[in-house]
Amino acid sequence: MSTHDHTHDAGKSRKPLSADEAAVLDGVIARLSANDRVPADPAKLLDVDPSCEQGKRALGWMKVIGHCPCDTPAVDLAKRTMARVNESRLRQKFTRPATGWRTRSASWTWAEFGAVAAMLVIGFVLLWPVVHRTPQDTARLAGGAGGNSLNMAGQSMGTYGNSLTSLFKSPWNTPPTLSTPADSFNAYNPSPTEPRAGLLRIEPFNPLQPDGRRLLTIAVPDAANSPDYGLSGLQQGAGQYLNIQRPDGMRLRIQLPADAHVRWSDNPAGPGGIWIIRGTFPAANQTDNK
Amino acid sequence: MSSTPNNPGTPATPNNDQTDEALVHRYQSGDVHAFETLVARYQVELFHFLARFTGNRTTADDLFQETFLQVHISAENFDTERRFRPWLFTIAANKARDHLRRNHRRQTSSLSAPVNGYGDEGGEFVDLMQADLEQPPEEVERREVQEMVRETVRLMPEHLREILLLAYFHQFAYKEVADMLQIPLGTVKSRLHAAVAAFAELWKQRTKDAPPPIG
Repeated sequence: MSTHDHTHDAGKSRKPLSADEAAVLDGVIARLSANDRVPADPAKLLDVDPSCEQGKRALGWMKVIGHCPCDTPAVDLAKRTMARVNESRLRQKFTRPATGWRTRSASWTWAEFGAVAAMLVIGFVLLWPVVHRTPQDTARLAGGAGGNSLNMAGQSMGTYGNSLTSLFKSPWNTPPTLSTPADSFNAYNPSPTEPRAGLLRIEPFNPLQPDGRRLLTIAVPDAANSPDYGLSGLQQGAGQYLNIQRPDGMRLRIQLPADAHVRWSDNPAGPGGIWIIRGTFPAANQTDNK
Repeated sequence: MSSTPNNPGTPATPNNDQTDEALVHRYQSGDVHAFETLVARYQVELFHFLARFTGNRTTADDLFQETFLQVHISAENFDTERRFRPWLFTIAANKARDHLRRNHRRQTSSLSAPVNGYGDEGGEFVDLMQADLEQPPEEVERREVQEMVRETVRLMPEHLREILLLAYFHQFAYKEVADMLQIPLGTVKSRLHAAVAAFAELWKQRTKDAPPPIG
Protein backbone atom coordinates (compact mmCIF):
# COMPACT_ATOMS: atom_id res chain seq x y z
CA MET A 1 0.00 0.00 0.00
CA SER A 2 1.28 3.35 -0.89
CA THR A 3 1.72 5.98 1.69
CA HIS A 4 -0.50 8.45 -0.11
CA ASP A 5 -1.90 10.87 2.29
CA HIS A 6 -5.61 10.39 2.18
CA THR A 7 -6.11 12.74 5.01
CA HIS A 8 -7.50 16.14 4.45
CA ASP A 9 -7.30 19.67 5.66
CA ALA A 10 -6.63 19.98 9.34
CA GLY A 11 -9.56 20.68 11.53
CA LYS A 12 -12.13 19.20 9.21
CA SER A 13 -13.95 15.99 9.79
CA ARG A 14 -12.94 13.33 7.39
CA LYS A 15 -14.04 9.95 6.33
CA PRO A 16 -11.06 7.70 5.72
CA LEU A 17 -11.03 5.59 2.62
CA SER A 18 -11.42 1.90 2.93
CA ALA A 19 -8.49 -0.31 2.10
CA ASP A 20 -9.96 -1.26 -1.29
CA GLU A 21 -10.71 2.32 -2.19
CA ALA A 22 -7.27 3.42 -1.15
CA ALA A 23 -5.73 0.67 -3.27
CA VAL A 24 -7.70 1.78 -6.30
CA LEU A 25 -6.79 5.40 -5.69
CA ASP A 26 -3.12 4.56 -5.29
CA GLY A 27 -3.18 2.76 -8.59
CA VAL A 28 -4.84 5.62 -10.38
CA ILE A 29 -2.56 8.23 -8.92
CA ALA A 30 0.51 6.18 -9.68
CA ARG A 31 -0.65 5.80 -13.25
CA LEU A 32 -1.44 9.47 -13.64
CA SER A 33 1.67 10.69 -11.90
CA ALA A 34 3.80 8.70 -14.29
CA ASN A 35 2.70 11.02 -17.03
CA ASP A 36 3.80 14.56 -17.25
CA ARG A 37 0.27 15.84 -17.68
CA VAL A 38 -3.08 14.64 -16.56
CA PRO A 39 -4.74 12.92 -19.47
CA ALA A 40 -7.32 15.02 -21.17
CA ASP A 41 -9.74 12.18 -20.93
CA PRO A 42 -12.15 13.04 -18.11
CA ALA A 43 -12.58 9.39 -17.34
CA LYS A 44 -8.92 9.08 -16.49
CA LEU A 45 -8.92 12.39 -14.75
CA LEU A 46 -11.75 11.40 -12.45
CA ASP A 47 -10.88 7.73 -12.45
CA VAL A 48 -14.42 6.63 -13.02
CA ASP A 49 -15.79 3.72 -14.91
CA PRO A 50 -17.57 5.08 -18.01
CA SER A 51 -19.72 1.99 -18.17
CA CYS A 52 -21.42 2.52 -14.84
CA GLU A 53 -24.26 4.95 -14.36
CA GLN A 54 -22.46 7.31 -12.04
CA GLY A 55 -19.37 7.24 -14.21
CA LYS A 56 -21.40 8.23 -17.23
CA ARG A 57 -22.93 11.11 -15.39
CA ALA A 58 -19.60 12.33 -14.07
CA LEU A 59 -18.07 12.25 -17.52
CA GLY A 60 -21.09 14.00 -18.95
CA TRP A 61 -20.74 16.81 -16.49
CA MET A 62 -17.06 17.08 -17.19
CA LYS A 63 -17.84 17.50 -20.87
CA VAL A 64 -20.30 20.24 -20.02
CA ILE A 65 -17.72 22.01 -17.88
CA GLY A 66 -15.25 21.69 -20.71
CA HIS A 67 -17.43 23.95 -22.80
CA CYS A 68 -16.90 26.84 -20.46
CA PRO A 69 -16.07 29.68 -22.82
CA CYS A 70 -13.39 32.17 -22.17
CA ASP A 71 -12.66 35.61 -23.52
CA THR A 72 -9.54 36.20 -25.45
CA PRO A 73 -7.03 38.53 -23.88
CA ALA A 74 -6.57 42.05 -25.10
CA VAL A 75 -4.23 42.41 -28.01
CA ASP A 76 -1.91 44.72 -26.14
CA LEU A 77 -1.90 42.76 -22.87
CA ALA A 78 1.65 41.55 -23.31
CA LYS A 79 2.78 45.02 -24.32
CA ARG A 80 1.20 46.63 -21.26
CA THR A 81 2.61 43.93 -19.04
CA MET A 82 6.10 44.53 -20.34
CA ALA A 83 5.65 48.26 -19.80
CA ARG A 84 4.89 47.65 -16.14
CA VAL A 85 7.77 45.24 -15.81
CA ASN A 86 10.17 47.72 -17.39
CA GLU A 87 8.91 50.44 -15.11
CA SER A 88 9.50 48.19 -12.13
CA ARG A 89 12.94 47.30 -13.42
CA LEU A 90 13.91 50.95 -13.64
CA ARG A 91 12.59 51.60 -10.17
CA GLN A 92 14.57 48.65 -8.87
CA LYS A 93 17.68 49.92 -10.58
CA PHE A 94 17.57 53.19 -8.69
CA THR A 95 16.56 51.76 -5.36
CA ARG A 96 18.90 48.80 -5.38
CA PRO A 97 21.76 50.50 -3.50
CA ALA A 98 19.44 51.35 -0.64
CA THR A 99 17.87 47.94 -0.55
CA GLY A 100 21.32 46.43 -0.79
CA TRP A 101 22.17 47.77 2.59
CA ARG A 102 18.96 46.52 4.06
CA THR A 103 19.21 43.10 2.56
CA ARG A 104 22.91 42.50 2.99
CA SER A 105 23.92 39.08 4.11
CA ALA A 106 23.64 38.41 7.79
CA SER A 107 26.89 36.47 7.76
CA TRP A 108 30.16 38.21 8.52
CA THR A 109 32.98 38.65 6.11
CA TRP A 110 36.47 37.61 7.12
CA ALA A 111 37.47 41.26 7.42
CA GLU A 112 34.58 41.99 9.76
CA PHE A 113 35.32 38.91 11.79
CA GLY A 114 38.99 39.85 12.07
CA ALA A 115 38.19 43.41 13.11
CA VAL A 116 35.85 42.28 15.84
CA ALA A 117 38.33 39.67 17.04
CA ALA A 118 41.08 42.29 17.19
CA MET A 119 38.87 44.61 19.20
CA LEU A 120 38.08 41.82 21.62
CA VAL A 121 41.76 40.99 22.07
CA ILE A 122 42.69 44.62 22.68
CA GLY A 123 39.90 45.03 25.17
CA PHE A 124 40.94 41.86 26.94
CA VAL A 125 44.56 42.98 27.19
CA LEU A 126 43.54 46.34 28.58
CA LEU A 127 41.11 44.99 31.09
CA TRP A 128 43.14 41.99 32.25
CA PRO A 129 45.28 43.82 34.84
CA VAL A 130 42.25 45.55 36.27
CA VAL A 131 40.12 42.50 36.44
CA HIS A 132 42.89 40.34 37.92
CA ARG A 133 44.30 42.89 40.34
CA THR A 134 45.39 41.29 43.60
CA PRO A 135 43.46 41.96 46.75
CA GLN A 136 46.46 43.88 48.05
CA ASP A 137 46.33 46.15 45.05
CA THR A 138 42.66 46.64 45.58
CA ALA A 139 43.21 47.53 49.23
CA ARG A 140 45.98 49.94 48.31
CA LEU A 141 43.82 51.59 45.75
CA ALA A 142 41.01 51.85 48.21
CA GLY A 143 43.36 53.43 50.75
CA GLY A 144 44.66 55.92 48.25
CA ALA A 145 41.28 56.87 46.98
CA GLY A 146 40.36 58.86 50.01
CA GLY A 147 40.33 58.93 53.75
CA ASN A 148 44.02 58.19 53.99
CA SER A 149 45.52 61.26 55.54
CA LEU A 150 49.07 59.96 55.34
CA ASN A 151 48.70 59.36 51.63
CA MET A 152 47.24 62.79 51.14
CA ALA A 153 50.02 64.36 53.14
CA GLY A 154 52.61 62.62 51.02
CA GLN A 155 50.98 63.72 47.86
CA SER A 156 50.81 67.27 49.10
CA MET A 157 54.47 67.24 49.92
CA GLY A 158 55.32 65.93 46.50
CA THR A 159 53.24 68.59 44.85
CA TYR A 160 54.85 71.21 46.99
CA GLY A 161 58.35 70.22 45.95
CA ASN A 162 57.48 70.09 42.29
CA SER A 163 55.92 73.52 42.41
CA LEU A 164 58.90 74.92 44.24
CA THR A 165 61.27 73.73 41.57
CA SER A 166 59.26 75.47 38.91
CA LEU A 167 59.64 78.78 40.66
CA PHE A 168 63.26 79.22 39.90
CA LYS A 169 64.40 80.08 36.49
CA SER A 170 67.35 78.37 35.02
CA PRO A 171 70.20 79.32 35.11
CA TRP A 172 69.60 81.46 38.19
CA ASN A 173 69.11 78.67 40.57
CA THR A 174 72.34 79.54 42.30
CA PRO A 175 71.89 81.97 43.76
CA PRO A 176 68.20 81.62 43.27
CA THR A 177 66.17 84.44 41.96
CA LEU A 178 62.62 84.40 43.10
CA SER A 179 60.30 84.77 40.18
CA THR A 180 57.93 87.62 40.55
CA PRO A 181 55.49 89.24 38.23
CA ALA A 182 58.22 91.66 37.37
CA ASP A 183 59.84 88.98 35.30
CA SER A 184 57.31 89.59 32.64
CA PHE A 185 57.83 93.34 33.03
CA ASN A 186 54.13 93.75 33.44
CA ALA A 187 52.97 93.92 36.95
CA TYR A 188 49.35 93.95 35.93
CA ASN A 189 49.61 90.70 34.03
CA PRO A 190 51.50 88.32 36.23
CA SER A 191 53.07 85.35 34.61
CA PRO A 192 51.94 81.86 35.47
CA THR A 193 55.07 81.46 37.51
CA GLU A 194 53.97 84.12 39.91
CA PRO A 195 55.10 83.05 43.32
CA ARG A 196 52.88 82.56 46.18
CA ALA A 197 53.72 83.70 49.59
CA GLY A 198 53.72 80.22 50.89
CA LEU A 199 56.35 79.20 48.42
CA LEU A 200 59.10 81.36 49.82
CA ARG A 201 60.62 78.43 51.55
CA ILE A 202 63.72 78.40 49.42
CA GLU A 203 66.37 77.29 51.75
CA PRO A 204 67.25 74.07 49.91
CA PHE A 205 68.27 76.11 46.90
CA ASN A 206 69.99 79.02 48.47
CA PRO A 207 73.67 78.96 49.10
CA LEU A 208 74.39 78.41 52.70
CA GLN A 209 76.36 81.17 54.28
CA PRO A 210 79.09 80.48 56.84
CA ASP A 211 76.94 81.86 59.58
CA GLY A 212 74.19 79.42 58.82
CA ARG A 213 72.10 81.84 56.90
CA ARG A 214 71.03 81.74 53.32
CA LEU A 215 71.27 84.37 50.66
CA LEU A 216 68.10 85.52 49.00
CA THR A 217 67.76 87.79 46.07
CA ILE A 218 64.31 89.17 45.43
CA ALA A 219 63.44 90.99 42.27
CA VAL A 220 60.44 93.22 42.63
CA PRO A 221 59.02 95.64 40.15
CA ASP A 222 59.82 99.23 40.13
CA ALA A 223 57.47 100.86 42.53
CA ALA A 224 57.43 104.00 40.46
CA ASN A 225 56.36 102.14 37.32
CA SER A 226 54.06 99.80 39.13
CA PRO A 227 52.24 101.88 41.68
CA ASP A 228 50.04 98.99 42.71
CA TYR A 229 53.02 96.90 43.43
CA GLY A 230 54.53 98.56 46.36
CA LEU A 231 57.15 97.85 48.88
CA SER A 232 56.79 98.75 52.45
CA GLY A 233 58.08 98.01 55.86
CA LEU A 234 61.67 97.85 54.80
CA GLN A 235 63.66 99.32 57.57
CA GLN A 236 66.94 98.71 59.20
CA GLY A 237 66.79 96.93 62.44
CA ALA A 238 65.60 93.80 64.03
CA GLY A 239 62.11 92.42 63.60
CA GLN A 240 61.56 94.21 60.39
CA TYR A 241 59.37 93.00 57.70
CA LEU A 242 59.64 93.25 54.00
CA ASN A 243 56.14 93.66 52.64
CA ILE A 244 55.43 93.31 48.98
CA GLN A 245 51.96 94.34 48.01
CA ARG A 246 50.67 92.70 44.88
CA PRO A 247 47.87 94.05 42.70
CA ASP A 248 45.72 91.05 43.43
CA GLY A 249 45.71 91.84 47.11
CA MET A 250 48.27 89.28 48.10
CA ARG A 251 50.90 90.65 50.36
CA LEU A 252 54.15 88.95 50.95
CA ARG A 253 55.66 89.61 54.30
CA ILE A 254 59.11 88.51 54.97
CA GLN A 255 60.41 88.80 58.42
CA LEU A 256 63.93 90.06 58.36
CA PRO A 257 66.42 89.05 60.97
CA ALA A 258 67.99 91.67 63.03
CA ASP A 259 71.29 91.32 61.31
CA ALA A 260 69.88 91.13 57.85
CA HIS A 261 71.73 93.01 55.29
CA VAL A 262 69.11 94.47 53.12
CA ARG A 263 69.67 97.06 50.57
CA TRP A 264 68.07 98.46 47.54
CA SER A 265 69.94 98.05 44.41
CA ASP A 266 71.47 101.26 43.39
CA ASN A 267 70.99 100.60 39.79
CA PRO A 268 67.69 98.97 38.93
CA ALA A 269 68.21 96.07 36.54
CA GLY A 270 66.09 95.37 33.53
CA PRO A 271 63.94 97.57 31.43
CA GLY A 272 61.20 97.60 33.99
CA GLY A 273 63.39 99.07 36.65
CA ILE A 274 63.70 96.04 38.83
CA TRP A 275 64.74 96.68 42.34
CA ILE A 276 67.06 94.08 43.65
CA ILE A 277 66.84 93.39 47.33
CA ARG A 278 69.68 91.39 48.61
CA GLY A 279 70.05 90.05 52.05
CA THR A 280 70.49 87.03 54.11
CA PHE A 281 67.55 85.63 55.93
CA PRO A 282 67.03 82.79 58.24
CA ALA A 283 65.01 80.08 56.70
CA ALA A 284 61.32 79.59 57.25
CA ASN A 285 60.57 82.97 58.55
CA GLN A 286 58.53 84.14 55.65
CA THR A 287 54.82 84.35 56.04
CA ASP A 288 52.09 85.68 53.98
CA ASN A 289 49.08 87.69 54.79
CA LYS A 290 46.20 88.57 52.70
CA MET B 1 -17.23 21.43 -30.91
CA SER B 2 -14.63 19.49 -29.05
CA SER B 3 -15.49 18.39 -25.59
CA THR B 4 -11.98 18.80 -24.34
CA PRO B 5 -10.91 21.99 -22.74
CA ASN B 6 -8.42 24.38 -24.16
CA ASN B 7 -4.98 22.99 -24.35
CA PRO B 8 -2.69 25.97 -24.35
CA GLY B 9 0.93 26.00 -23.41
CA THR B 10 2.35 25.92 -26.88
CA PRO B 11 4.87 28.67 -27.41
CA ALA B 12 3.39 31.89 -28.74
CA THR B 13 6.56 32.49 -30.63
CA PRO B 14 7.07 29.45 -32.79
CA ASN B 15 10.64 30.33 -33.61
CA ASN B 16 11.57 30.31 -29.99
CA ASP B 17 11.88 26.68 -29.01
CA GLN B 18 13.61 27.30 -25.74
CA THR B 19 12.08 25.93 -22.60
CA ASP B 20 10.50 28.19 -20.04
CA GLU B 21 13.25 27.45 -17.60
CA ALA B 22 15.91 28.36 -20.15
CA LEU B 23 14.14 31.64 -20.81
CA VAL B 24 14.05 32.40 -17.09
CA HIS B 25 17.74 31.60 -16.90
CA ARG B 26 18.41 34.00 -19.74
CA TYR B 27 16.32 36.63 -18.01
CA GLN B 28 18.31 36.13 -14.84
CA SER B 29 21.36 36.89 -16.94
CA GLY B 30 19.83 40.15 -18.08
CA ASP B 31 18.11 39.20 -21.32
CA VAL B 32 14.91 41.21 -21.30
CA HIS B 33 13.68 39.66 -24.53
CA ALA B 34 13.50 36.29 -22.82
CA PHE B 35 10.94 37.73 -20.44
CA GLU B 36 8.95 39.14 -23.34
CA THR B 37 8.88 35.69 -24.84
CA LEU B 38 7.55 34.23 -21.60
CA VAL B 39 4.81 36.84 -21.39
CA ALA B 40 3.77 36.21 -24.96
CA ARG B 41 3.93 32.46 -24.48
CA TYR B 42 1.54 32.47 -21.55
CA GLN B 43 -0.61 35.38 -22.61
CA VAL B 44 -3.58 33.28 -23.64
CA GLU B 45 -3.35 30.40 -21.20
CA LEU B 46 -2.76 32.43 -18.09
CA PHE B 47 -5.41 34.94 -19.06
CA HIS B 48 -7.93 32.16 -19.52
CA PHE B 49 -7.09 30.77 -16.09
CA LEU B 50 -7.46 34.15 -14.41
CA ALA B 51 -10.63 35.01 -16.31
CA ARG B 52 -12.26 31.76 -15.34
CA PHE B 53 -11.05 32.01 -11.78
CA THR B 54 -12.20 35.57 -11.18
CA GLY B 55 -15.08 35.59 -13.63
CA ASN B 56 -14.11 39.06 -14.75
CA ARG B 57 -12.18 40.00 -17.84
CA THR B 58 -10.87 43.31 -16.50
CA THR B 59 -9.74 41.73 -13.28
CA ALA B 60 -8.01 38.97 -15.19
CA ASP B 61 -6.22 41.60 -17.23
CA ASP B 62 -4.93 43.33 -14.11
CA LEU B 63 -3.98 40.12 -12.39
CA PHE B 64 -2.12 38.93 -15.45
CA GLN B 65 0.08 41.98 -15.28
CA GLU B 66 0.54 41.65 -11.53
CA THR B 67 1.48 38.01 -11.93
CA PHE B 68 4.26 38.72 -14.38
CA LEU B 69 5.34 41.68 -12.33
CA GLN B 70 5.78 39.28 -9.43
CA VAL B 71 7.61 36.87 -11.69
CA HIS B 72 9.96 39.68 -12.65
CA ILE B 73 10.57 40.57 -9.01
CA SER B 74 11.12 36.97 -7.93
CA ALA B 75 12.90 35.77 -11.04
CA GLU B 76 16.35 36.00 -9.55
CA ASN B 77 15.32 33.62 -6.79
CA PHE B 78 13.77 31.09 -9.14
CA ASP B 79 15.51 27.76 -9.23
CA THR B 80 15.77 26.87 -12.90
CA GLU B 81 15.97 23.22 -11.95
CA ARG B 82 12.30 23.45 -11.17
CA ARG B 83 9.50 23.84 -13.67
CA PHE B 84 8.42 27.33 -14.49
CA ARG B 85 4.79 26.70 -15.43
CA PRO B 86 3.55 25.46 -12.03
CA TRP B 87 5.43 28.31 -10.39
CA LEU B 88 3.76 30.80 -12.69
CA PHE B 89 0.29 29.40 -12.05
CA THR B 90 0.94 29.29 -8.33
CA ILE B 91 1.69 32.99 -8.37
CA ALA B 92 -1.35 33.67 -10.51
CA ALA B 93 -3.62 31.59 -8.27
CA ASN B 94 -2.35 33.41 -5.19
CA LYS B 95 -2.94 36.75 -6.84
CA ALA B 96 -6.45 35.77 -7.87
CA ARG B 97 -7.24 34.37 -4.44
CA ASP B 98 -6.03 37.51 -2.73
CA HIS B 99 -8.08 39.61 -5.10
CA LEU B 100 -11.25 37.66 -4.48
CA ARG B 101 -10.78 37.88 -0.74
CA ARG B 102 -10.10 41.59 -0.87
CA ASN B 103 -13.26 42.17 -2.82
CA HIS B 104 -15.40 39.80 -0.79
CA ARG B 105 -16.24 37.86 -3.82
CA ARG B 106 -16.24 34.54 -2.07
CA GLN B 107 -19.37 32.60 -2.17
CA THR B 108 -21.08 32.84 1.18
CA SER B 109 -24.27 31.06 0.30
CA SER B 110 -24.97 27.43 0.76
CA LEU B 111 -23.16 26.83 -2.47
CA SER B 112 -19.90 27.01 -0.65
CA ALA B 113 -21.06 24.51 1.91
CA PRO B 114 -19.76 20.99 1.73
CA VAL B 115 -21.15 19.19 -1.24
CA ASN B 116 -23.86 16.72 -0.37
CA GLY B 117 -23.03 16.89 3.26
CA TYR B 118 -19.36 16.16 2.79
CA GLY B 119 -16.41 18.45 2.99
CA ASP B 120 -14.46 18.95 -0.16
CA GLU B 121 -12.09 16.26 0.93
CA GLY B 122 -14.46 14.12 2.89
CA GLY B 123 -16.26 11.04 1.83
CA GLU B 124 -15.60 8.60 -0.89
CA PHE B 125 -15.23 9.93 -4.36
CA VAL B 126 -18.05 8.03 -5.84
CA ASP B 127 -20.36 9.35 -3.15
CA LEU B 128 -20.00 12.78 -4.62
CA MET B 129 -21.78 11.61 -7.74
CA GLN B 130 -25.20 11.10 -6.29
CA ALA B 131 -27.66 9.16 -8.32
CA ASP B 132 -30.27 11.85 -7.96
CA LEU B 133 -28.28 14.21 -10.13
CA GLU B 134 -30.03 14.73 -13.36
CA GLN B 135 -28.51 13.68 -16.59
CA PRO B 136 -26.03 16.18 -17.95
CA PRO B 137 -26.97 18.14 -21.02
CA GLU B 138 -25.84 16.58 -24.22
CA GLU B 139 -26.12 19.64 -26.37
CA VAL B 140 -24.14 22.66 -25.30
CA GLU B 141 -23.49 24.21 -28.60
CA ARG B 142 -25.79 27.07 -27.98
CA ARG B 143 -24.07 30.18 -26.78
CA GLU B 144 -26.50 30.82 -23.98
CA VAL B 145 -25.75 27.42 -22.62
CA GLN B 146 -22.05 28.13 -22.76
CA GLU B 147 -22.62 31.33 -20.89
CA MET B 148 -24.57 29.37 -18.33
CA VAL B 149 -21.65 27.02 -17.96
CA ARG B 150 -19.32 29.93 -17.42
CA GLU B 151 -21.62 31.48 -14.87
CA THR B 152 -22.01 28.19 -13.06
CA VAL B 153 -18.25 27.75 -12.89
CA ARG B 154 -17.95 31.29 -11.56
CA LEU B 155 -20.44 30.52 -8.80
CA MET B 156 -18.56 27.45 -7.67
CA PRO B 157 -16.72 27.65 -4.37
CA GLU B 158 -13.35 29.21 -4.87
CA HIS B 159 -11.26 26.24 -3.74
CA LEU B 160 -13.19 23.86 -5.97
CA ARG B 161 -13.13 26.16 -8.95
CA GLU B 162 -9.40 26.60 -8.55
CA ILE B 163 -8.63 22.91 -8.61
CA LEU B 164 -11.00 22.29 -11.50
CA LEU B 165 -9.24 24.93 -13.56
CA LEU B 166 -5.78 23.69 -12.75
CA ALA B 167 -6.40 19.98 -13.16
CA TYR B 168 -8.97 19.95 -15.94
CA PHE B 169 -8.58 23.05 -18.04
CA HIS B 170 -4.84 23.45 -17.64
CA GLN B 171 -4.01 19.80 -17.15
CA PHE B 172 -1.56 20.02 -14.33
CA ALA B 173 -0.56 16.69 -12.86
CA TYR B 174 -1.98 15.81 -9.49
CA LYS B 175 1.45 16.08 -7.95
CA GLU B 176 1.92 19.52 -9.40
CA VAL B 177 -1.48 20.66 -8.20
CA ALA B 178 -0.72 19.29 -4.76
CA ASP B 179 2.53 21.22 -4.70
CA MET B 180 0.95 24.37 -6.01
CA LEU B 181 -1.88 24.38 -3.51
CA GLN B 182 0.17 22.78 -0.77
CA ILE B 183 -2.40 20.11 -0.07
CA PRO B 184 -2.06 16.33 0.11
CA LEU B 185 -2.19 14.38 -3.10
CA GLY B 186 -5.39 12.60 -2.14
CA THR B 187 -7.07 15.89 -1.45
CA VAL B 188 -6.47 16.96 -5.03
CA LYS B 189 -8.48 14.09 -6.36
CA SER B 190 -11.25 14.37 -3.84
CA ARG B 191 -11.55 18.08 -4.45
CA LEU B 192 -11.77 17.44 -8.16
CA HIS B 193 -14.68 15.06 -7.66
CA ALA B 194 -16.26 17.54 -5.29
CA ALA B 195 -15.88 20.24 -7.91
CA VAL B 196 -17.73 18.20 -10.52
CA ALA B 197 -20.45 17.41 -8.04
CA ALA B 198 -20.71 21.06 -7.04
CA PHE B 199 -21.02 22.07 -10.66
CA ALA B 200 -23.78 19.57 -11.21
CA GLU B 201 -25.57 20.73 -8.11
CA LEU B 202 -25.34 24.36 -9.12
CA TRP B 203 -26.46 23.60 -12.63
CA LYS B 204 -29.42 21.79 -11.26
CA GLN B 205 -30.39 24.73 -9.09
CA ARG B 206 -29.97 27.26 -11.87
CA THR B 207 -31.98 25.24 -14.37
CA LYS B 208 -34.68 24.20 -12.00
CA ASP B 209 -37.15 26.58 -13.61
CA ALA B 210 -35.64 26.39 -17.02
CA PRO B 211 -35.72 23.55 -19.50
CA PRO B 212 -32.70 21.29 -19.26
CA PRO B 213 -30.03 21.98 -21.86
CA ILE B 214 -30.30 18.52 -23.25
CA GLY B 215 -31.04 18.83 -26.90
